[in-house]
Amino acid sequence: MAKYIVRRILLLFPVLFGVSLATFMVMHLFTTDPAEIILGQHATTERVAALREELGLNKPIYVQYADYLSDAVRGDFGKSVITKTSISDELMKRFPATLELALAAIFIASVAGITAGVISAVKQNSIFDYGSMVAALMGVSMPIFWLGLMMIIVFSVTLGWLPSSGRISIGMTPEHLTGLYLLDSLITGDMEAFSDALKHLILPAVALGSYSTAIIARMTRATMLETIRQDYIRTARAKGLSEKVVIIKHALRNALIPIVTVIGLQMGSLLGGAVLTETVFSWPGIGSYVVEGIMASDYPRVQGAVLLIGTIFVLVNLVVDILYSVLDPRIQHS
Amino acid sequence: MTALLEIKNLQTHFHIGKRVIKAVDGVTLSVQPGETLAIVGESGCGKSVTAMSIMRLLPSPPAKHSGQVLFEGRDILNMSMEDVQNIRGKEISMIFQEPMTSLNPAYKIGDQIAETVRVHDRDGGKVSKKAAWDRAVEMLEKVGIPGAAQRARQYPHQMSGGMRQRVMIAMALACNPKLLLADEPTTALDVTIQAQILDLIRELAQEFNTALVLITHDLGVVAEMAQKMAVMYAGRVVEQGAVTDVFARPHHPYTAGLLDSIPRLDGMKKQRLHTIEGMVPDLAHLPQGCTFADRCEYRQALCGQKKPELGTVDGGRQVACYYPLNLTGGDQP
Repeated sequence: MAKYIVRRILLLFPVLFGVSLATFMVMHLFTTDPAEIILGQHATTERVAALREELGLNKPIYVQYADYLSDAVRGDFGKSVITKTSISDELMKRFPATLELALAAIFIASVAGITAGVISAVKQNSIFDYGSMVAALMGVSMPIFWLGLMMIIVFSVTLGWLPSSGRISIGMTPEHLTGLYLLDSLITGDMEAFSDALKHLILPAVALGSYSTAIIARMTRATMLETIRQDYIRTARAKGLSEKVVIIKHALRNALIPIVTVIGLQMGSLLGGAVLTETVFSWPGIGSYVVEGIMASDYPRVQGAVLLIGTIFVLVNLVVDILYSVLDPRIQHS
Repeated sequence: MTALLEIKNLQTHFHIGKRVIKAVDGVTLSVQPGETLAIVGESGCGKSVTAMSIMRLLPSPPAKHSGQVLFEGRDILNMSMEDVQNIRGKEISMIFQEPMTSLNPAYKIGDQIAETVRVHDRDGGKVSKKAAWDRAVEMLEKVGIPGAAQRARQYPHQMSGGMRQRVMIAMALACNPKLLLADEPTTALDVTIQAQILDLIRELAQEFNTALVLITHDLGVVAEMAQKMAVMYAGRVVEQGAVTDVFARPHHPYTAGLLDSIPRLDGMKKQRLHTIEGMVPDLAHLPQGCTFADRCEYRQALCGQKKPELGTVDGGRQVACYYPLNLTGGDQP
């Protein structure tokens, strides 16, 4: 098992090398010259050339890449060409926001998706089954930014129940421990901050999790339908177990492997793919940071953020693979 | 002596769309405490459905039961699901045909046996996890699994089919049930293992004083294991009686046909094996008269008009036929 994990972690390096090369090339070949953007349209050619030299943009591209890579492996993603601040610091500051949002979204999606999927499978062809599968179809088809805007209109603007943007109200930020506001406010016992952070989190988390909820619900229904027809489910009933125990302990446990795979993949893409949600809800995470970077042609920012997201995605997948052997004793990693 | 299990005119029909499949259509039989009853018949005659109906294991809908299944005088078909769950695994247990897939792949076999023990400990006392586990190991020893304590920590995929069926037997008997339903318990196993498993079931049923309903299509198994037998055809019991009597003097033409189809090693000449001509009727379109009439050599006009009911002949033997064979005198049904 340990050997397997080490091998998988070693495999991380070629993957990340590819990711870094691809983003570096795309940012350098297809975006506008950052020097021109920084200096504005009235800049003289000399000033642009001077800035290009300062930023190292005049060097051959492979030298630039080598410089970038040697810094990146040390955890230094360089400085933002716009704000001149350290990108690594900025990512570290913003990552907890993205993580908190993604965790909340995947939590909502898993609970709602698995519950809906199990009930749909147990009561196949019932009203609930049809209703939840239609809802799931809508969840898969609805664009996240549209859903987010609609939720803001209904719950923030019209009903005024929940705030529409940001992570927390001004002046409420809890003491920084983990960077996850819910957790920090719980640890410090600041219940006011907790409820404020929770209110801010609900809308973006539901919007972000809607697609995953739908995917998880459909996957759960399909695998549960297969599992409840197995012989060992009949054995479980013949033992005198209640229907609840039969479904949850015996059927769901065996259906979990494909469900966990989907949750893991969704978690990976939620961490990296919260770009739209973070923008719609002005969530100060990595997604909105990337969007701002793209708008400003701030290439080091985009490179750094994409590399971080890539690393997280691969790590989440590794965790899922390790979970398999915990869930199914027949799978052994060696 | 009051019967442990008494089934009266059990019908299990499957309603699928507009079709009604009459898988079990009038089964009447009884089992005394500690006795072994074999239910014999060919594939699709309703043996397994009868056993599953006794435990109410068939999903309903589509299955619909009528008639009575009296267990110690109480009708299982009319019980609440909770009462049925209290009986399952504790009073009545079942072993299935498919040992390879009947155990949950995600749990250790010891845990699966212990679960049965713990779920039925409802009258206070609370069997501890440890006690239930010890009982599981004890049962694994009883069913002849070497190194039971280690084996209990293994998962089903680490065991062979024969071993898994032993585990199923251990699980079924863990709560000392009064009745064990064994649905073709050896069909999926190697011939050499079959005899071992049957011996094991017989020994343990004796030791625990458990009545046994053995479902099989193997008449050799019947002769060896059972005191009483019921022959089923197209969802109905056509003949019932003591095994020795039925083998010696089958009354129903179908039973006689079955017994004639057993290959014998002592036959002097090379003979073609006897076969019963024709096919089992479609369970969705059963004939109005005797279900066996179309294939019967002895059929007469009455057979095609009305179904014969199971009636007593020859002092204790039961047969559903208007013209029973091999009577020694005594009353006609």
